[in-house]
Amino acid sequence: MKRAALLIVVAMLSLAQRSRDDYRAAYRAWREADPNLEREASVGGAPIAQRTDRMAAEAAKCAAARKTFLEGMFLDEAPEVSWLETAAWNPESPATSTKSDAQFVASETATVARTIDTFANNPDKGIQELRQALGRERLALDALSLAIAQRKKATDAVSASSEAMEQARAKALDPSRAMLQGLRDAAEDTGREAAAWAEYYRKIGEGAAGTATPLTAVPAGVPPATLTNPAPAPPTVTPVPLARYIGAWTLPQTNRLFHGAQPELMDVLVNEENGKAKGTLFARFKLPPGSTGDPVLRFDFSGDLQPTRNQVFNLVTSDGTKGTIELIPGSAFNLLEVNFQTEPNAGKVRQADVVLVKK
Amino acid sequence: MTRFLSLFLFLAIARAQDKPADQLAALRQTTDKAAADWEALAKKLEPRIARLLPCDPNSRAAVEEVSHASDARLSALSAYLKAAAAKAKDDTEAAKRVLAAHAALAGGWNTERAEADQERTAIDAQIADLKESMRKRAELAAAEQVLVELSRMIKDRASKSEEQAGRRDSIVASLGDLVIAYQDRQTALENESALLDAEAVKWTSYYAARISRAATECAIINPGRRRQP
Repeated sequence: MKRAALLIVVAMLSLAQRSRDDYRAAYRAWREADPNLEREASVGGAPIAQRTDRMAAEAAKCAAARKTFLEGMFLDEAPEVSWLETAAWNPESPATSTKSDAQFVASETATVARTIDTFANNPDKGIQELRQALGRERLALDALSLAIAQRKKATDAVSASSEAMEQARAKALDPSRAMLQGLRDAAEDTGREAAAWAEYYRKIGEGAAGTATPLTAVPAGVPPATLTNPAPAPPTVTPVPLARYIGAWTLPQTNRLFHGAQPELMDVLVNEENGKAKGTLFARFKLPPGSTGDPVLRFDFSGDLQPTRNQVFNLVTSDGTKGTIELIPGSAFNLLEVNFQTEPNAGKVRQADVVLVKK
Repeated sequence: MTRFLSLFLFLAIARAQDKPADQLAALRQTTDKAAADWEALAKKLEPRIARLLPCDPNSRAAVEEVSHASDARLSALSAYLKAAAAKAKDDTEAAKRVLAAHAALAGGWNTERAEADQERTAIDAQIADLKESMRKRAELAAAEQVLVELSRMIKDRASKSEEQAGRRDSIVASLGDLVIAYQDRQTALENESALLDAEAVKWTSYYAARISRAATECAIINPGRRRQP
């Protein structure tokens, strides 16, 4: 009952949390400022450099807003943790103890009782009056004794709850400190991320300057590679050479063949070890206009190679969704058809059939 | 500016929190002294009046002195317990605030993790775009390396946030226990305070009976002074 009432209080008080709106707005502004920068960076030249400058400024604004938020959270939390640290229980005043009261009352009661007994059979009127006075005194002492016993129970309850309180406080202190430290660390990490973003945009600017060199260009003076002593292919369980599956595969520049979701980019890497294949797929798809789904898909797959032309493996996406992938050797030696399906996963591409070319 | 204001509030709260503790310490000192005074007088009372004649004015004065000392120590103890109960109430409210703040903060770590995941997805898309551009311009490879490192940093941030969010249940349970313990202590102190006030009435009755007995003893010896013990 106490805990249920507590949860309601917590739920109500939890609503008063520091707002994240400022840094979220800064993040949106940054992300929406130039979403095509990376795609168009290959064009190069001064316009790209200007665009990177602008993006660097937006990234810095976002980081500053996030840091302010995290530091604010730290300042909000610090007094709470400080209170926990300093709220150590101070022992009660010794005066709250009922021990000396109880001893006093017991002693007085015994004395009064003895005196009453002494005068028990004395017929003197004055002595009888004194005995009656002693009787009233004893009644007062009895009532007092009862009251002291009741207060002792309450005093014991205070001591017991104080000990429970101290244990709970000690238990809560370490995780509270860790959480506070987490805020400080997060603020510091934001500073490091901000520096990395600045570096990133600087490098894009540098990379976009000057004449472009395609990745596939062969530097001058390097002779073309030739096989002078080709080794025979190792025996394999598959009916076609392993090279038809193994290696790095990508989308062809032109004449792309696909069924289902249209890929904009797809890289597949397949390795083999002791008859087992292991690979990764990274792809980005073109989504229908207005779609809010995630265009990016990344998964790992693995399994034993089978004595069949088409190889089927289980896959697990980066967010844990399961599925299967089929590798189908293409019509030419350097082509591989990749056909995958995943369990339904909202907002994610779950099926595609694409022909890739060997890198 | 906001930071200075927060710091000022933090210091002000810390100062305000110190005040009741100081008051309680002063009350405790007074209570301890008053209790010691009464105990000393109460112990000496019987030997002291045993040497006096029943109608000796010093006899009644001695009982009254102990009675007044008893009143004084009970008043001091009552004030101390009321202050302790009030502080316990403040502590309970403070513990509730800590619980609420930590519960909210722990929930905030879930938001941190979700935002980090979202940011990492955006970075992955940037990496994919940049890789495509690198086919035409290999000089972008250095930027791509930084972006991959940023993706790792954000992944690290998501892991840390998840770890912090994982503390939620244990910290909420511990602080819940703390609030309940504070509430129990507050209730126990309020109860003790109420019982002491009731007990004080009984002490007054006892000392009244004790003074009445002294008057009776005097009247037996000197009937003429019955009405003026």
